Amino acid sequence: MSLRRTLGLSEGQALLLGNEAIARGALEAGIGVAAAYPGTPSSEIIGSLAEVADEVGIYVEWSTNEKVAFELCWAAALSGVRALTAMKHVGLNVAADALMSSAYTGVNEGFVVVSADDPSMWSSQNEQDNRLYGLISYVPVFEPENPGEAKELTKFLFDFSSEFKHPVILRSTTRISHTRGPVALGPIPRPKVSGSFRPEPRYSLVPSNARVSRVEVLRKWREVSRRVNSIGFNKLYGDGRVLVVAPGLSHAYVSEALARLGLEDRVRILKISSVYPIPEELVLKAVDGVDLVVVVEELEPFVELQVRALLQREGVPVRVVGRNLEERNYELTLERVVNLLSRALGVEPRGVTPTSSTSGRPNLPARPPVLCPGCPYRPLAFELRRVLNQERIPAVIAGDIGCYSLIHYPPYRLQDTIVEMGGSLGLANGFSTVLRDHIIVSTAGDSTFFHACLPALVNAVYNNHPQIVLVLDNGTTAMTGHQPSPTTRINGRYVAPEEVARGIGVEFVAVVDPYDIAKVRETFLAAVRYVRERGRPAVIVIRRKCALVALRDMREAGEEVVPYEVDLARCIGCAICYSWFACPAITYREDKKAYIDPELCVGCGACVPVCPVKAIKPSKPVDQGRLARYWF
Amino acid sequence: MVEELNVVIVGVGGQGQLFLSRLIAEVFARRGIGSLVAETHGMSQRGGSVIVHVRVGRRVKAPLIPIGGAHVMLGMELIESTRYLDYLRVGGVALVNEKMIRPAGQVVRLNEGELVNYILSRTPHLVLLSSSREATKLGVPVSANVHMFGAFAELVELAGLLEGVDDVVPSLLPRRQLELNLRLYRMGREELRGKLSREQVEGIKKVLVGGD
Repeated sequence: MSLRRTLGLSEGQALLLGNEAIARGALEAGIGVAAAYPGTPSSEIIGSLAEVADEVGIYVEWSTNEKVAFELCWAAALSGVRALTAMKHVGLNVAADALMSSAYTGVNEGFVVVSADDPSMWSSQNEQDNRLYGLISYVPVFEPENPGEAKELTKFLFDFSSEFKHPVILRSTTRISHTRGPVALGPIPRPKVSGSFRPEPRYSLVPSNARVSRVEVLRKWREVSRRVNSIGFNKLYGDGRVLVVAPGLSHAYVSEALARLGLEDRVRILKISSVYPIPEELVLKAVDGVDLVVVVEELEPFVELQVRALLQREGVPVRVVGRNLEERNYELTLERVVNLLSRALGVEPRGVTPTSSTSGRPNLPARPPVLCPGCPYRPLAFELRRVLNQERIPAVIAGDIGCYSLIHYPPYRLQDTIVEMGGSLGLANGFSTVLRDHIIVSTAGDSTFFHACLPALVNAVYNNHPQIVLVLDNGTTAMTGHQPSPTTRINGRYVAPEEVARGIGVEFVAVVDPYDIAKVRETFLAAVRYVRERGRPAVIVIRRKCALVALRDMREAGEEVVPYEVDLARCIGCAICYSWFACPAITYREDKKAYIDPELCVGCGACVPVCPVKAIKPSKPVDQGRLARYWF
Repeated sequence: MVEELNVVIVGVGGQGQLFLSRLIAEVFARRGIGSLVAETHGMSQRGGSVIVHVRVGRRVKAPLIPIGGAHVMLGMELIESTRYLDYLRVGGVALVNEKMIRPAGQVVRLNEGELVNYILSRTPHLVLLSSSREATKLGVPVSANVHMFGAFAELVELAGLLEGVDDVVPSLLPRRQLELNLRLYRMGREELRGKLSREQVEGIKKVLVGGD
């Protein structure tokens, strides 16, 4: 069931994704405004709210980056309108400046910041534990155990935030956000969408005001610390000489692991949802009469350190164990929790398979994610790799984050660095400073370009950094599920990257269709000459729509997809199309000649100019010129 | 009441594993049985290797199935079924679509037979299904997952874990091409029924409802 389909319901249960549950909680709390920049695993929170915005009568937007989204929601909450912003863990780094100040200004109505962390890095560049943001910002952090609790907690946090006039962080993880589970539904009140604003000194953080706020934040913190002892989401139950402390999702693993070990009646369990600050009085009550405290948590020992500090401060002489340094990486599993508990409690691990056995298994090829059939980045990557090789151009390619991160992989090997959003143009400024005999190329998708690349481009122009910027404009934020970017044309709204580049002062600006690989080559070589001779940046906008979008539009318009095929009389088995162009739809026959799988081919025709002997043709006549309207 | 039923759904990103997992969770939900489905989103959806964990039943709290903990594997592709086979418990049921998708850009020397033999070496309860072939024949290759869902529905009804799945299926399938999808669903059911001997059914019942 989707969030939209639950709108008419004010009771009963629905199976919702954790992210939809968070969105539902926000609706039940009466939010008026929500904004975000997409990022796995957070995207469906705002995505599902955007789907129902008109129906519910709230304002929802996809903003250009996390900081912009945060600030929009912050202003709403300052003006008395409940607001939610959501981002992936690394997105909060982009919004961190705003987060710090938001604790100083406080808010006037509930403001919930959702941070969706990604243990195991399923779709991320690092595994940072954003609970630690609470520590530096004095913004309380809460964690749910499952989708059902995520909804209840979200709703509660709006009241909590309103009560203390303070922002809060709801920390989710991939296994909450992307797990579907039963969620109890409650009524959705009429939202309050317009506010009022009365200026107060705390909103303007000049030093004299900030000093007052700093003291106020600490006073509030004392109150918050007291209050979290009495919230129902923290629970102490069971009895025994051992206390297991289980924050958020780890409580789910702990309950199952204890059942498998047959120990559920022999330990005391403290489930914690307020992970910062921890409920100190409750923890002290929980450790009374126990010999050992075991803290089971994912990633960093965040609750563990707070528990240790508390016990030391209060002079409670009880042993505390957590995970070893080498065990902090990657997400929790039942096996890991069973092993941790059995080690701490001195019992044999039971109820899980000790090790995975794959003996005798045939060697399997890895299957990294790939560019889709029809992807406009494929012919670009193919031709770029070819021209760099053939012309022996010593290049360093600073990549960025999006579908095009995949051209890091063979056969293209076209991203030498991929570090963080906007890191392409930024690192390229540095490479061009110290690698004088190289051509420095940076790649950024349209959404990424507007997200965090613009300051670096201004810098490249002003400080004369010779880099070739490839803006991969597919008209959408593709990797995260096609959220609009400023290049997505909606009701006349549109921002053209090439006009922005010209406005900033870039002299060499070109726009190229990546399917036209001859033109790609010619333009790239012209840019190489330009940056070499002039020592200034060049921008090439590579423009063609995401194939998934174009194909969806074609399908909706009733256009027929005509698959391409290989003329076996012409094919010489050179392998260029299946080994170097590497479209998933093109594979090979026993005799090394190419074969196009009609099930996978999307009829884009991008492979036609790749073939040196013109052996690829449509299986029946097709007018690509007429279909171009779907691709641009 | 279902105590614990763990199902791993594996395949190549884009084959419709998420929809299949939602169908399974919904048919149990309609009978008041809760489940958790740990989905795969983001990068791996782009033609990469995909695993979805479906956990049904009263005892289930955590989202991930442990290694050796799955009662059933729904394999939409042979290489991925082999890759994740260690999630299947000893003697577990593997319903596998007999289609192999070679990773793009690599020359892969593997044949279907050796993959099937390896799976058979780990469980006698392997059923190869013609889901992709049938769906392609009907002109809806993306609906191979619906055929597999039919086989799964037959399996859980044979094991006595659910009944009356047929009644709720029409409301769960997309309205577009509903008739074709219903046909594939029924074909999946029939194919599984036709491929299981009475003995196998008894063995499978033990795996699915034998406790633990």
